[in-house]
Amino acid sequence: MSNLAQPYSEKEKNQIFNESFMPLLTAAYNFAFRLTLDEDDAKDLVQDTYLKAFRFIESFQKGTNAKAWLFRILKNSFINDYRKKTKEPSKVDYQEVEQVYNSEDAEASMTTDLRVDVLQDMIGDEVANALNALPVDFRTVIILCDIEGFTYEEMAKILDIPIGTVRSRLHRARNLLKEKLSDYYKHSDR
Amino acid sequence: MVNFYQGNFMETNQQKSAETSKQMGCSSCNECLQVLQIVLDGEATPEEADFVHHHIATCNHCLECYEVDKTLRQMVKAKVLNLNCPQDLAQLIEVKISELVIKV
Ligand SMILES: [Zn+2]
Repeated sequence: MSNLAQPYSEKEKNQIFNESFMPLLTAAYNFAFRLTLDEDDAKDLVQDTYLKAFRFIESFQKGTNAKAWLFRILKNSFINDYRKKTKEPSKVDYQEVEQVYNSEDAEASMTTDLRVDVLQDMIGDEVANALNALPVDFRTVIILCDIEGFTYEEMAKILDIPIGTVRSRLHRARNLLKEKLSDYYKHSDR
Repeated sequence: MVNFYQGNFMETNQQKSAETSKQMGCSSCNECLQVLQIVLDGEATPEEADFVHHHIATCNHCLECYEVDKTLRQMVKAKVLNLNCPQDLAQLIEVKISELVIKV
């Protein structure tokens, strides 16, 4: 993700935009929806993202990962413009969550009472609701890793954080998700 | 990545089935749980993946952690469904871009 401007002609710019970025529209919309949890906000966020992508297309190097480049713009637009509007926990709340999990032993937090058969019986809504209930930073790493299939290295670039932080945030996110799913199971009639 | 090691896993299961988790000791479990996540994410070295697959072949506790976390990933991938993109979104973007181009 080099910031060096590429000497693209106007024709090339349009071609890159149409061939590399427009096909990613559905993926971008879904990422935006999972961040904002609102269809109208997601639509606005994607439009802003694509406008920025077009304006800054000279900083995109042909042959590099277009999806990671676009998702990074989308994530930054979300943080700058949408995060304030949404009812997400504030940065302070989020840091508290991270501290709580930092203080915990990695192995100790692994042991949930979730079993494979319990997990397999979960319906789609339960999994989606549990994921959506996570603080946005934790939700984001799970989306990027498990749904979008980005590598740690790509995630580090998209989120502007070190790979070690990607790994530890993913670990905490998964433990939080398991806790939520385990709560659903305990409070259901099954 | 996981599939790639599936063959190995079956093999080690047979080779090491005599070994008990007690013999392997607690430090093995700690090491296993520490690299389990990166193995499941396909980010581990072949040595780390080998180590985990050898270990879970004989340690029920770590095997269960492995299976739960593997299933969690599968459930997220399978159950969190994609929305259809709004039909007018591509056009909205094209209009905004053409406005941008005219201004410049
Ligand atoms: Zn073990």
